[in-house]
Amino acid sequence: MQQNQKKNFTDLISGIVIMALAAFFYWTTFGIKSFLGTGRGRTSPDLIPKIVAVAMFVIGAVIVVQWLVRVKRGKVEPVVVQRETEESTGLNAQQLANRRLFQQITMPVTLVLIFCYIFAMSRIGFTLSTFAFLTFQITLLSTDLSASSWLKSLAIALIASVGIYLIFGCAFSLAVPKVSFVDLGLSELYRMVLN
Amino acid sequence: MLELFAQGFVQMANPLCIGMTAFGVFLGVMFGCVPGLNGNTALVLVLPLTYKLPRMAAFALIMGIYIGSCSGGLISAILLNIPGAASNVATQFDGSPMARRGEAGKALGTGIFYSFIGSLIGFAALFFLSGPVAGIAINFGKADYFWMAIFALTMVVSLSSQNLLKGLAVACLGLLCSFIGASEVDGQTRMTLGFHALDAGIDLIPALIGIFAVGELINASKAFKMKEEVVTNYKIKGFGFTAAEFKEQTGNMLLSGVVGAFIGILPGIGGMTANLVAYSISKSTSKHPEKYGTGYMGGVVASETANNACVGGAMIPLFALGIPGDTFTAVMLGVMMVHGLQPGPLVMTKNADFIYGIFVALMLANLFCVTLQYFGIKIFVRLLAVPKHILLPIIMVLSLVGAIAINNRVFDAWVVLVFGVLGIVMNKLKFPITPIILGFILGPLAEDNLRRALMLSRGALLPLVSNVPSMVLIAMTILSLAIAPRLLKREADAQKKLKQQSE
Repeated sequence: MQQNQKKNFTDLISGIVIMALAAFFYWTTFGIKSFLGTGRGRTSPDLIPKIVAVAMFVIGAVIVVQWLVRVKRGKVEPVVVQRETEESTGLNAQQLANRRLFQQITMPVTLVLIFCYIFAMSRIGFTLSTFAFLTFQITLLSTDLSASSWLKSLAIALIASVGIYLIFGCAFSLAVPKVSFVDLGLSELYRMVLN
Repeated sequence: MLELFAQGFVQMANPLCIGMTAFGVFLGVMFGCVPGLNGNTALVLVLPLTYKLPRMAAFALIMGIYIGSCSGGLISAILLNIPGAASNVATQFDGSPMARRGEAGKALGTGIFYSFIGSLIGFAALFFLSGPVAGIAINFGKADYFWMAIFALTMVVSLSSQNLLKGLAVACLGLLCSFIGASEVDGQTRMTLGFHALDAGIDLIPALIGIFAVGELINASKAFKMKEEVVTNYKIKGFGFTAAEFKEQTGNMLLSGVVGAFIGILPGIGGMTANLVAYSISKSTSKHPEKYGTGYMGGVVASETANNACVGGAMIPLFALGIPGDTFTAVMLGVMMVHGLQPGPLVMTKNADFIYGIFVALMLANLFCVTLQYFGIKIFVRLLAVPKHILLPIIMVLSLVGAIAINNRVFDAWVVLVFGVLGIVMNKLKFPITPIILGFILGPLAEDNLRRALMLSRGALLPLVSNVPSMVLIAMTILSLAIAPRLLKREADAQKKLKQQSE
């Protein structure tokens, strides 16, 4: 493996993220009113969330300050980036480039796919949206975008989406969104077979 | 107690419960031995199923997965030289050299047998300790409960984080997320930003699925195929070791079992820490420390006894106090609530037949686990090549089904996605994940009890700290924050050394 070194900003970013989240949560506590009123040991419902948010903000600030102090003293350990090479993985140059590409795009594309999947689920129903999601996701993870790979994913997605719908949506009658004619048709089919 | 145990037997004595235990063990071992998958992933996969099964059968399935997944990783640690899950890392140190030397059968037999023993030790701890612990907690007042929640939280923070501040920060984040929705004391909706779907708060299970499952699935999917060498020339005869060797390892076995069960009881850490700690303790107390790492049976014994002993230990705080010790038990807590059980000290008396049924399920799962691994090892070796690029998306779909079905609304799928993104960001920035989960679970317990205690004391602060249990818990809280980081650092250094040696 090759090793490259990069400057380490992790703790700086961490502190800022914590401070931002704390500020956001503090903001959400505005406008909370109390039915019971306060006094005689009755606390307002926004008191404890506010205290926790302030504490979180302070911790975030301390993390940032600690990072600054370490930078000034030159004590921040650099990040070691390990790069895979042809020897360490046993792949050829083409495969290795392919592997790196997929390692970079897998996470963002997966998140977008999940977003679209949930968005589509209540509109086009469970079976169709699951079928589409599985087709794209399986092909993505197989790191092979050839026609035959797509075809294989398509077949697996078809079986899996119908199977999951029949088992969980029909047999266990879980409340997955049943919208499209496919969902309703499958439910009908399930009922007919059972009778 | 025996009478209760008999009731537990009655609960479990039907084909569905027994079948579910066996199925759970099979899934657990399979997910345990495939690197990149683990017991948590298996649990998420069957989540929708557990809602619909009768209560006892659902928990029989979960117990099977828990026991199986702790043990299954030994197969890949020994034959593949890659630990199947984090709880089998130390098994690899000696298991793999044994296999390369042609003693794979002995290594497997030892691992399987001592997993069984470990589970027994964990079970004994669970059986004898959960009742007394619940008995103490049942007399707690409001202030005591508040301090218990705070102690559990600081304990998790100090044990699971390399950086104490980062742990505390995410614990606060978990607390804040738990405050969303109606507050328990006065029913006032808070921090919902006008989303009525949030009025009842964020449900535990979608949050859990998002925060660890989505991130884990994406991480697992990034570990693309590498060349792998599986040792295939092995035969198991008996368990591969002699009676003399068993006698020699007795001390090691008992010590590792106790260490494992104890680490299981501590919140926030589990099998993944237990096997490494037991390994280093076993090595330093052994007469032949130089043999460790070269393919010595004692190393496998320590690691496998400890990680399975953890299972019983981790369930003590869950049943006795309603505080889960790790991610797996946190999901169990969620499933308990789906089935209408409120975990806490009362569950031990009010639902004793069910809790003892779980004890029976644990024993049964242990028996299935040793049998299944012993006779089915060839099947599991073949499953190592399971196509993960197909399995992971299907698990993703089922985890969303599990989230949607809990309240019958697609909104909870969005919760999964939001917490998934949160989990990924936290992971990237090297925040520990467990404190968020524990903060989320303990938030209402802490806040509710604090506010009620203040009402009872009419705003006076002294009664909050003047009870004996409160004082003890406050002292323990301070100790956990002051001492644990140092212990942890020493342990981390020791583990670094271990890893360097094994390389």
